[in-house]
Amino acid sequence: MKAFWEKLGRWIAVRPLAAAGAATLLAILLLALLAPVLPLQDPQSVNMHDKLLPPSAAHPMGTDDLGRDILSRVVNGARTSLLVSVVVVACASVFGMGVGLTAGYFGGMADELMMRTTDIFLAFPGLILAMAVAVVLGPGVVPTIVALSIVWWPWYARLARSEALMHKQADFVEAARATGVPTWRILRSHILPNSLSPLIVQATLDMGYAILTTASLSFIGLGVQEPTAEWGAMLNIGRKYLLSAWWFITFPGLAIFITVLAINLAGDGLRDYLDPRTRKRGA
Amino acid sequence: MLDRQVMVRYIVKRLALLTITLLGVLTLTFFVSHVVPGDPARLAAGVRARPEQVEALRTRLGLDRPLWQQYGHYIAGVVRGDLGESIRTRRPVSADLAEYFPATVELTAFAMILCLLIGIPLGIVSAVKRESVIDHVSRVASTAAVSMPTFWLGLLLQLLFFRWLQILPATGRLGFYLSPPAHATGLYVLDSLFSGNWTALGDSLVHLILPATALAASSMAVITRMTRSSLLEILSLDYVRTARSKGLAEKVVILKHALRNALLPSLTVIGLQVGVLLAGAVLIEVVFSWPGIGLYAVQSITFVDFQAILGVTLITAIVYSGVNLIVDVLYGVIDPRIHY
Repeated sequence: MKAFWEKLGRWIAVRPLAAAGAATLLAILLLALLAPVLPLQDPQSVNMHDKLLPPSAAHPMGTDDLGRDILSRVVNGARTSLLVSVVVVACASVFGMGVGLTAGYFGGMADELMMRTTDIFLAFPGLILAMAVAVVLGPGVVPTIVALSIVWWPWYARLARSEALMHKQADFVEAARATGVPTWRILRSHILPNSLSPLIVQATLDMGYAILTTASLSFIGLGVQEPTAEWGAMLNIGRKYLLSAWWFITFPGLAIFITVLAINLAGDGLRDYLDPRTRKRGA
Repeated sequence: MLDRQVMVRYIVKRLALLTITLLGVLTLTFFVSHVVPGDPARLAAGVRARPEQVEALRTRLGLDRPLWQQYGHYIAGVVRGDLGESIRTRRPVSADLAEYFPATVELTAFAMILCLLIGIPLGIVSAVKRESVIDHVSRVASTAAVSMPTFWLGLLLQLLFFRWLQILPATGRLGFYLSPPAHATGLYVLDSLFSGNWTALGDSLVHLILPATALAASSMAVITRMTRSSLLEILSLDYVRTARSKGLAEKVVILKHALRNALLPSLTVIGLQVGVLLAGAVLIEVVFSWPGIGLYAVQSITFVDFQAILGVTLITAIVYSGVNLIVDVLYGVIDPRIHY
């Protein structure tokens, strides 16, 4: 246990920014998980007498157009954003990894088919494809998750494919094949574990993009919608009151910014930790 | 001569691949528009349509025919430039796109110019003066820029420069008291330049400042980082040391010897940023009421206007794929080591 604390201390000293990012992220996660038991006002309670009040002791972030407490909605919005982004990245990475590892390992037609299929998906800027799919699937949390996963899996498939290509020639894989280990076990116990670390880094950094894209979709009126507390949807309403209520757009946006920043800082730290080669690049 | 033949063969091969990709893109959009949403005739006719109206529309749009025939019809239509009819504007989608697209081109082009004019020099300075104040500030700023939602940055800029400082306009392409310059390209800056309309030129440039800045921020950060890290890598190579040790001025070493090689990897990144800018333009156009295809798509969302949204999706995919093809070909032109 003592060794763990020493190691942690050294890590904080070497990478203060990554540590700050990880700590912030942890705090946001805790806030999101504990939101129902925190002494916050009901995020849905409408009170037209209190609408568009500036920040005060009673409402530290002010109130929105329906008199709801913005602080409470920002904290509850973290639940939505984190849930969507975690599930999207999990779905996209598991599916993409399965496809990519298989295609890369077998090569030939399977590989060609996968590459051409991903070409199609990567021909769209991500948000634009997500927008088209989200229009079809309609509003809500689940359609948003599906739309974003459809956009994201090709990136993981490409990455996993290149990893599989790299590892399938390795001596230990040849040895496993020669001794008659079944193919699916080679994939599972040899190729997959060795391909995992770049995929984990990618997944971590993608959480930030997923949060940004989720917010973007709801900002243009797709995806997660009122009355669910969600940062992008709040900004969509708030921009109509830009000239009269600066707090309405400031705080939900700040929440997105801080969360994504924390993920990016922590993700960069994780990348340097898992891949020492990038340490000296200084980028 | 041989090189040129090889190059032409490469371009032809890439064009063939691009055609396959675009056919796939069409298949995907067909699937999205004809198969998934239940009853497109119902949607196209609108909520208030009577059953017989829906049936009439179904026959007119050919939706009662077998799926493979509809597919053929759809592809043939797109090839002819027929993207269907918008149920919101009651006009052909291609006509709508022709009207809205120039505004998007103008916005993204200016954002890209900002990215290159600021991102690349900043990356060079950060690499050359590593660990200096400029380097640290630009690193903090670029981490912040990639973490910030584009549309939120746009709203903050409006709040600061329009609401509080009152020095820049927040919405639109021109002041309401001005009429657009004579139409030639649809890009107001170019059109007013061509027609010598200096008032319109100044005003359209002023209107571009905030949206282009908000749109450019995150891509600029990516380009700065990329330029910095690839220049740092090049500066540690032997040939740079040789150039230095034979007494060349530092400026010559960096700008003539190192930069040319350092910019190559940035080229691919710049191509990818075109996609980021096009997607970001959707959000920025909403924030700044900028009448481009992004605003057109978002306005269509409320009406569940599939044809319009798919038209926008399709045109962005084509532009994006085209730009990336050009980047790959350029790569070969600039770097003699790359053989196709």
